[in-house]
Amino acid sequence: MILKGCLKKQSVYQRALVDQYSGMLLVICKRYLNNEELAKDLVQDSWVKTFKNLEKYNEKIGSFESWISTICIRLCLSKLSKNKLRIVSIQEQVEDSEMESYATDFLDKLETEYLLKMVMELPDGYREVFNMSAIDGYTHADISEELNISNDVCRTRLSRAKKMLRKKIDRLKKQELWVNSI
Amino acid sequence: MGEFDLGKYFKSRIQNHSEEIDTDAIWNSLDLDNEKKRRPKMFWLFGLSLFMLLGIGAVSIYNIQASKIQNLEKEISEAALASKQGSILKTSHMDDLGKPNEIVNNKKLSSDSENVENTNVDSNTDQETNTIALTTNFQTNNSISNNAITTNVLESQPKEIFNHTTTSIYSQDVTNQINNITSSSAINTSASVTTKSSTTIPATTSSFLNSSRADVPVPNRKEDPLSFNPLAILPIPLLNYSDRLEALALHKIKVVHPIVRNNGRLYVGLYSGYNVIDRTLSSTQSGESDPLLMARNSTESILEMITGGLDLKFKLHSNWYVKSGLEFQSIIEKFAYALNSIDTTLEENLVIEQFVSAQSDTTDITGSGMVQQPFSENWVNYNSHRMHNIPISVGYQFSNNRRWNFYVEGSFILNFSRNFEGLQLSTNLNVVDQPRYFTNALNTGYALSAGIAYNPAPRFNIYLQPRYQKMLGSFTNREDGISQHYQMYGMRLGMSYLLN
Repeated sequence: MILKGCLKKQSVYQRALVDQYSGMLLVICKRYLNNEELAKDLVQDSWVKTFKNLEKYNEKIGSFESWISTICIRLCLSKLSKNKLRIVSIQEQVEDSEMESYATDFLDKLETEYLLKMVMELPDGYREVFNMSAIDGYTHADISEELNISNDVCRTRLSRAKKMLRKKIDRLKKQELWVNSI
Repeated sequence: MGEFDLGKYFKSRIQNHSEEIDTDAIWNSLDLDNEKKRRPKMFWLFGLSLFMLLGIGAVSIYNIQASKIQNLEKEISEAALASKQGSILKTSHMDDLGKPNEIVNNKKLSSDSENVENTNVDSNTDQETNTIALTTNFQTNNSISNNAITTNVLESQPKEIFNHTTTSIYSQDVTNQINNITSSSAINTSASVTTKSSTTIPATTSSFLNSSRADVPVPNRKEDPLSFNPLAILPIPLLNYSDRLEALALHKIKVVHPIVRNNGRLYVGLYSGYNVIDRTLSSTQSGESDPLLMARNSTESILEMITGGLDLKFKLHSNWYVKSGLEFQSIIEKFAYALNSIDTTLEENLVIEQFVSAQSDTTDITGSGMVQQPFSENWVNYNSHRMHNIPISVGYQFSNNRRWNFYVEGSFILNFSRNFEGLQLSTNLNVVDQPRYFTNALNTGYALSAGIAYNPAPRFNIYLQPRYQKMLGSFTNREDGISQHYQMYGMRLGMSYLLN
């Protein structure tokens, strides 16, 4: 119903769509860009592109939410590539992802905002790969093509990003234990 | 406790996370593609202003005519009153006769009430004289009748010619003629003299020299003349018919009888219109998928057509009419260009290696390298095909009443000039401003329409006309592989003015 109204360029429905999904788009942009102001600009650009291409959306292929997320992610990647173009080759060995055990009660206590901040603080290059692979479900092949990097580099970055996040969580856990022991 | 997948954990916590954002600010700063919305607004604004213009024009014309009638009625009433009181109305118009034409021409020659008042000047004559009612124009809604005497008066001719001292009256024929005319719905009564240079000197029914017709028997009059027809109590000039004829013969004055034009009516019109368009692009080479055709279909969209024109309409008494004129049409199309490519350039000072320590410290090693940068170009241009046509129309008008009319019309359209302005893909798919495949060859088309017309004032007419138009010829050279045809559905708003 809302989408049909948007296709007819009825501003009431367009506005409803903006209200419904802008918050989600803002989180995506922040995850990728690590810059709140830039993220807001990108949310706006995402809407312009969404409304321009709305007639191309096919609900048989996927949900509207994932379609609009894809638009937003692509804009973020485009913005990143324009802001800082880099060719990165990591010489380190690819390590298998480590599986550690955490107390689920501790993880549940972590605020989502804090988790988001952790992701945002990942270095450029690692952040994109982690977001695309771990959160947005892109395959390594897709990421390699999108970021113009090799498959190996992609795997390495993902692994390193996870390692960094894990360290942050460990540090946090230690802080909590220390606070609790006082 | 169990194996922990950090990626899944973050995904479950972050993916559907949403944050508060000022959607008002986003919405207000969104610059959505609303060109299509703006265009209809422009059209309605244009239509509304045209309609208001037509309305103001109609009311103005109506007021002018009403004012003329009122002034004439006032003039006639005053004259009648003066006649009753025994005063003698005199005019200076007669004084103009015999003067050089230049002098006569310098007077403002119209039947406006102001002029009438200004030209009613006493001639200061003591002698009781009769004169000729030189011209009487009776205008109704539909026709003009003239009862005029055209003169071939030479500049040197003395004005005494017209100042006969006879006291006899018009012949019965002349009186009947005048009475028949004046008993109709006369709305404009004036007198004038036509000289050899075709200059008309107006006067009014009061423009007669001192003579009274109060005692003249008026045949065929049923009502009280004093309350009905002002002419009956006016000082109508009296002249013995035989004397008058003699005078006319002597001075080469020719009697012109009333003329009623029955040949049809001529209108001049002005119109504008808005149309939606259906364009057909097709390949002239069957069985082949033309890349230009596909590219054009994906980049071009059709918006609208705007029409304006002038025409002359000749309407017969049988309600059939023919119409022709000059017409301008502009077909507006939208050309949306989108190009996505990757530029490869050599750049210095790039981060070519990056090391991350266990403490998350990063070390960048810079150098030069090949950089691939995606490049996209998106823009929109509005193209137009401007056409000049000669439409020839035949129609039939169903008269309902004097105010409202309905009609149907068929037109043949001769498109003699056509030009393209804008940007478009050429045959080798480059963007050019003058694609060679457009032709300016003579084109033809036809149109079918029906309409409703309204007369807000005498002679003035506004109409609304739904219309279908189809251009028969292609706008492109068929040799280039594509034919381009148009058909239009639209609405036309116009006005016309009765000339005769």
